[in-house]
Amino acid sequence: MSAALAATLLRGSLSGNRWRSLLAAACIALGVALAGAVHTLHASALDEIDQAARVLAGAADWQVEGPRNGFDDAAYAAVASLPAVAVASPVLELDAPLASGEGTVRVLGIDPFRAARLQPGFLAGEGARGGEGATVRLDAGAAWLTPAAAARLSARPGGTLRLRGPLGEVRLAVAGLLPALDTGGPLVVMDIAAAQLAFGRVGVIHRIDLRLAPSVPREAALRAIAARLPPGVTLRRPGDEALRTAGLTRAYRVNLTALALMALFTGGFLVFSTLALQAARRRREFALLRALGLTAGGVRAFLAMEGALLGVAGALAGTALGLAASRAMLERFGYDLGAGFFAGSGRVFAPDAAALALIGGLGVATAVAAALAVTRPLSRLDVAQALKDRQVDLPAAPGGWAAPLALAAAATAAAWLPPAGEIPVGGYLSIGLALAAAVLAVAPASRALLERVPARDRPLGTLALAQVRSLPGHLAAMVSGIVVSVALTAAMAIMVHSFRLSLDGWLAGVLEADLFARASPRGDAVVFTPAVQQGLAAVPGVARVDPIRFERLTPEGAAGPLTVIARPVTPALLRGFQAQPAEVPPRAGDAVNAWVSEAAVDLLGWKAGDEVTLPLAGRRARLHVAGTFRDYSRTWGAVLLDLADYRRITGDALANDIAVHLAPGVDAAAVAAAVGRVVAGVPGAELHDASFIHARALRIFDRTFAATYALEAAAILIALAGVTSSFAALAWSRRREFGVLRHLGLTRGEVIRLLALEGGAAGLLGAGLGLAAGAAVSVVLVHVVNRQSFHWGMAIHWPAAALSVLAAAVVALCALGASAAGRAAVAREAVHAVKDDA
Amino acid sequence: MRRRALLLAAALLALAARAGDYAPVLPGLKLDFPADYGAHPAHRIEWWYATGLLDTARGPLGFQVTFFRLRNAAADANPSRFAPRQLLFAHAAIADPAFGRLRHDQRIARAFAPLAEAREADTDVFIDDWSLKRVDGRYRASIPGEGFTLDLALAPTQPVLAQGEAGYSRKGPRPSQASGYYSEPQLAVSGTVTVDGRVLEARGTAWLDHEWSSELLAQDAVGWDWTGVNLDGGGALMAFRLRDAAGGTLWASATLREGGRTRTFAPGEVKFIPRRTWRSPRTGTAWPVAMTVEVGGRAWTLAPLLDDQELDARATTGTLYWEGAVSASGPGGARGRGYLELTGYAGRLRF
Amino acid sequence: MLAVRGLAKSWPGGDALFAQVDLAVAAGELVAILGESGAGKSTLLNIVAGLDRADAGTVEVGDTRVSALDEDGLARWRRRHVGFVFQAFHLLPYLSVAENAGLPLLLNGVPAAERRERVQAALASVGLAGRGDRRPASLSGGEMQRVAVARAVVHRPALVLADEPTGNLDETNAAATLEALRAAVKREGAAGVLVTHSPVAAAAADRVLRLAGRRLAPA
Repeated sequence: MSAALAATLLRGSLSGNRWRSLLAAACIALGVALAGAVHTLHASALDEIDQAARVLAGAADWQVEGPRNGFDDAAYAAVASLPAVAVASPVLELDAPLASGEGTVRVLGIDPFRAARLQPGFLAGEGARGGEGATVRLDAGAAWLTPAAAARLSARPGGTLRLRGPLGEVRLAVAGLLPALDTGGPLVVMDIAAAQLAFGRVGVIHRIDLRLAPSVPREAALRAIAARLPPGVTLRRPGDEALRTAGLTRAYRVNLTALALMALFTGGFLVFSTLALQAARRRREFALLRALGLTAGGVRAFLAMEGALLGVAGALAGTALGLAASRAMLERFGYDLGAGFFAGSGRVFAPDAAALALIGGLGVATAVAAALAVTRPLSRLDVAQALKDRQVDLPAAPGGWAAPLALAAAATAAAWLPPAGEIPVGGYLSIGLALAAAVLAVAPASRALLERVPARDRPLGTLALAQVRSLPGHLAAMVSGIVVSVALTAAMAIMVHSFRLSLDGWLAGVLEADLFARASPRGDAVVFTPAVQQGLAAVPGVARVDPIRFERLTPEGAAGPLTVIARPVTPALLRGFQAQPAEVPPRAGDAVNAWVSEAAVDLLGWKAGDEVTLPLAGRRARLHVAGTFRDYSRTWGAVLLDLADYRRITGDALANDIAVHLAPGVDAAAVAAAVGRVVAGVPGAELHDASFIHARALRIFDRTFAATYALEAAAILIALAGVTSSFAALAWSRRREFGVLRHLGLTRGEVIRLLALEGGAAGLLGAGLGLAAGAAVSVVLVHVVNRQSFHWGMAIHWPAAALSVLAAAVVALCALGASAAGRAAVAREAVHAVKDDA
Repeated sequence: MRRRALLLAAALLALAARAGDYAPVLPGLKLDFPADYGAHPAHRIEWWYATGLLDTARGPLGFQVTFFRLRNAAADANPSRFAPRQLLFAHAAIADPAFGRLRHDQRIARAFAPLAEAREADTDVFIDDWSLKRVDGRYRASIPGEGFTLDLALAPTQPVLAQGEAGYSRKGPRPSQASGYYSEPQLAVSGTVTVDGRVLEARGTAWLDHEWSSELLAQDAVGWDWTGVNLDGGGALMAFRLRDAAGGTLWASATLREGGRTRTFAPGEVKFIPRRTWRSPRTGTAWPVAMTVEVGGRAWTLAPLLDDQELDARATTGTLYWEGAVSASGPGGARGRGYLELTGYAGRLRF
Repeated sequence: MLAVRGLAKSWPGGDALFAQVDLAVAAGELVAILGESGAGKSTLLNIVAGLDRADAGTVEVGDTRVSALDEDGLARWRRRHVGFVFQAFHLLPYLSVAENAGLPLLLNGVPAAERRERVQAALASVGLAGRGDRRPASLSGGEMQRVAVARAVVHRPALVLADEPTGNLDETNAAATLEALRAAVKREGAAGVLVTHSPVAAAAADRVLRLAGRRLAPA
């Protein structure tokens, strides 16, 4: 086909379909934009983490790292004195709340002379006063800020920085800036000894940056170092930070990407129905071209080109939109829309051209695939028949029940596939197959349903039914789009609703005390000392306090971190955590009873009855897994220990949180006020009652899913717009028919109602099939995708009201859209319509 | 004396501590070996400072190996094992006429067993793999630096030279402005120097100062000149002066060991007379690299091995100084080789 | 049955299309209106059917003053009392032959059983008995137009209007269609108006008028 011919044909198709073409491209663009934005945000976040890790590690080639609460700093001398180690730099790292209460800042306690041998930027600063040399770095009251930190904290050399520590406010003199470390992010750098003292961490470090001696073979060096490390303290490469973050956020990312791909999928359907409708309308034109000598391949190529054009337009617009959106989101919300995975500053914007090209290519491929699906039946076009034919139906929709049933069976089977490296491929495959099954079921289901509708004497109903029955291809194309978007929306709604109800019930159980005090609502610098814990217990009216201590560590052989929750374990608490079994078994030997979360079961393979070891406080603690519990907050697993056991093993008497139980019959408000006075003695600590925390958790949940709702709404609106435009095109091609009906005595309003009825029927069919498919997809989402990516077990809850509203809205919007289309079609005088020979 | 360290001490002083936190050096001090070879951690500042000239296949090389110890009493109260109660600094340099300027490197660390320590029993001071240690009566210096490595043994050939009044060396008008100070002149050096990847056998003569103090600095001193010369025939000359802003002498002293006799000179008997200045192309500082030193009326002329022996350590220790190998010629054709140190010529240093 | 008095209609520009047109058609009478293209035949027909408005004059059918009805009233009146035959047949492609023919009955709410009976009778009367289940697309042009005639009279309208019903047909089919139309008008006692430019077609009518020079006059 020549370019000139293609251009001529294209002019015809695009001018006749401007609105629909725009919608189809918009849907592709939405999918591409969403996937592109998710990827760009994530790539930027990882890039910032990577850059920061790189600049801070400097010349370090390995890092020794331990649990969240740090490890014994004696390990430093043991490692640093090895001949295999050329340079060793100890690091204390914590997130300290600002005294102003406005967030936290990362504090690095370093030995500047050690750190500078790996990264000279730790010494090469711009001082408040020049020429003192290195010794000022040892001033216990001095801090050095990266320019990013200075900007964020509005601090300048010579000024004062006020942070919160467990012993009270930490006042630091800003001695200067560290411009060479700016890519390290907002950092406050101080001497390690001063930091240990000021933040109550004497004897503890979090990391040792290492440069190995080139003279010692790598393997031998690593073995020698590992031999000197306490349990729970491990060696890793500095670059692992970004990789590990990538692992931690993979589930979150994959889910958003899947959402984006679903938008693409919907877009593909819209492209299909646009082109199919157009192909139907221009059947005679194509037949004429065929008669004039254009080959079937030529017609196919032309349609494929049209699809590609829509795809390219959508992909380009989507990529631009995605970049703009991610840039804007980066500036306003950070890397993850506030989901809390990244602590980065959001200063790095690093679009990944290759990945964006891939995503855009996927958009184009979707559009081309949709176009090719249209052209297949078209190439069987009987030219002579089509030239006479006035039918406006789409190329016949295929088939019976065999294909959808086979796909549904495959979808069911796929749900049992194991995850591939934390990604629930089986689940996503199952969802894709289920949607495909639903789409293919549209034609046979509509046929079966329409056959069962009894013929009535209601003229409009009979006419509408006849019309809908007579154009099965059309109906299927329109209904498929509705089915896909309704299915996805319904599935997400069911999943979110199930999650919310499960979380709600879980929170009610977990928050079994009256009041909760938290030492570090932000950051981790502040903890409750035993004195504060006793002070709270001594408040009159307080029946009991449960100190809660958190630790995050990496069990030997595990890929990711595990959270240790140590608190007094009672049967009531176990019931609240939905533990199985919810009772404390007698101690078996010297092993300590522990309950593990579902994520720990999935990721570590721990199950009730197992004996496992956990590196606690530099020792291997033997645990007896007494049972499992439900944990909706930590996707990498958690283990629950009795506080007394934890304290005996670790000697750590601090607490991060304290649950306060009031005595029965006391004046709750007065006791709460008294408790609040004790908590107020710890700067930055917060006290809330259970209902506040409960409500806040649900609020955060709703905010997290708000973006999902918005995306779903956008998808469904686009699908409905597609349906409306399908109807508009159809109504236009039927305007002669409407003219005849008007001659035969139908009023304008009746013609419009006729179309509304047809639209409503399509909507009803789509909503029904969509809800059925959505229910199936939601089961996969809840029991396969969520379970495998977040390791959260929950029960399905059906949001009957929301689904009814969804279905009603879809039917109503379809009817409205169709009647709007009808209004335009009957605007012309009936007498002209019947003369119109087009 | 090596008053460069004063700058460091001053920096710390500015930070912290009360003078009472540090043990004073008092008149009547008695040197007690081997304990006085070792560190004196109760005092604010201390150094071991070896300089010398070596003959190698590459020609004559000057070398300098210095370890400083600095006490930071402000950190005494911090129970952290990282608390910087003692700081250790080390400088090393090679003066190579063929290279045209100094090669130098440095180490800084807080004292932290077993990585960096200044031990008390005998000379045994180290920062990681840099060390100066007295073993079997000889000093061993092992300095694997950036671009050069020194691995030297320094063997005494004569008794310790106690400076000042039997080791009590005054630095200012007040008796408390003083240090414990002895020298080891005429050390016989053997070992290897690695430069540009070439291992050179080296032999030569060196001078080692060991000095400790808690109160050194006269308020209005802006800089100082110091020299230590091993004289041909076994003699030794040490002279220093403290300068004020006008270039006048605030305090001076000298010691001359000659023919088995040692004489100490009072401030009025010691004069430093600049003969030639060299302007550094890097820092623009004019250094009086050639000097005449008059001690007790006898003039010694010092000529540098090379002009550019400027050492710029402002980025880390905050100091800019000239530390150079020199040859000396004295009255009656007496000759010697030693080191000249010049500080405070780059403008008044800000404390 | 049909009484048109003093009808006048102008082009939108103001030039008169026709004026002072009077026409009376009795029940069971078929009247043909001949005229050149653009003479205003179809416009006259549309005004009679209530699909267009006259500038002056009245249209009465039976007791109904058509020119006084509003738009929805006209639609309901057409549904009950008017049958149409178009040049381009205009059968609905998604309905069977019987459903097409029965469409007016459906619109008037006639029960299914009675509808079936009357459609069968109507189709038989135009010679298409037994073809009711076919789709329009499978019929010839003449057959389609006879289905259209059946649709025009199946609900026993007072008025049957045909606009160039033979324009798309060959002579044989045209004759058959005109015969069916004439027979239906007689049988149902309707007032029939046939608009055409063909004197041959007009010859099938009881009376032939000519619309020329803005006047309607006997040919």
